[in-house]
Amino acid sequence: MIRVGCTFRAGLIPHLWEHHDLVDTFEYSLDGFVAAGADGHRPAATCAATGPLSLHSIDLSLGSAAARARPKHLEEIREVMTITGVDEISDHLAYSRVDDRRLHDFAPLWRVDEQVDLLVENLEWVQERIGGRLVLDISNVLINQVNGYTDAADEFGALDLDAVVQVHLAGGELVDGLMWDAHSSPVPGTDLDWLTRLLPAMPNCRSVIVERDERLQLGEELVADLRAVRSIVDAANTPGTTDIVGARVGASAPG
Amino acid sequence: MRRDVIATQRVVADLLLDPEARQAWDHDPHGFASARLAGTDEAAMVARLQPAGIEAAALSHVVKKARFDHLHRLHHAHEDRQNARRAEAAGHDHSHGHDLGGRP
Repeated sequence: MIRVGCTFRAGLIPHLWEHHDLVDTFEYSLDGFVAAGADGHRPAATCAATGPLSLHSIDLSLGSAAARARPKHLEEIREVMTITGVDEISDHLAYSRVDDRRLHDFAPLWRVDEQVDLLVENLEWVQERIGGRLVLDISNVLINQVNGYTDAADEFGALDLDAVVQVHLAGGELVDGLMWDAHSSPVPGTDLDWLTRLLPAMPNCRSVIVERDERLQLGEELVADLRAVRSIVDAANTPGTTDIVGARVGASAPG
Repeated sequence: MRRDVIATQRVVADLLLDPEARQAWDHDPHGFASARLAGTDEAAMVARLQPAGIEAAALSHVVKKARFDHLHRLHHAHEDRQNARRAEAAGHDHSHGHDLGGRP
């Protein structure tokens, strides 16, 4: 059973109030709970009591050596995961910390073997402590394609989708000819088409999350996104209504 | 010869966080990169970064840091208020107990 969800933002609640049937799960900022220390445990438990939730992290910096420099941070994450009953979290294939400097944004990875080695070492180190599998950010891959950095079909064909437990979608923003993964606009039709094609090839996928962090006043756009995603997920959840994609498909989500 | 990914990340961080480094790189990308990175692949990668991308990422960093710092200040102000309330409550309890204990 694949759940449909979206980012939890207070500004979205009025828009979602009459459409709660569209949202099976909310995605919360893990770092908000962690940063509050023990004070964050109670709100985390309260959120978990309302229904299934996902936890999204932005501060693991999996692509840099800083990922292994903060074991206490992982302990704190583990505590929040235990309190919320969540057994997986998501973060980014990117880096946001270099030594003791914080970038406040995601820097993309250099696509060389040495970077992959560092990433794998970090992932193994993190997974030993908190577990974890793969989130596929379909929109991220397609934005990279729009910006001319990759071929999405190649990317989707390169990875093992059996490992994907969650999918992310979002609408970007074009600034000075560069598309940003801004989570600020409707999910493009292309992204939904890819979801339709890829979802049947993800037997372990548990949820599809629409990320929306900006222009929250246009919440009706999110409602429309959720309806579209719900339709695709319902088809995937109903045996015999979808065609399994024959090709080996998969993707990474840099940044 | 293994490429030094960590060294290149340090230089990229310099470009994103330090306007002077960015200016020097903008003026002479190859000279800047060669002076900071021993490996030719590493220097070539940093020299080939897109100026528009670096500028946009640096600006994004400034905006997000300002937002983060603002929220951080709010969080600490909230903590300070909580601590002050706790201290005040503890002070009352202490004096109350002390008074009680001092009575015959």
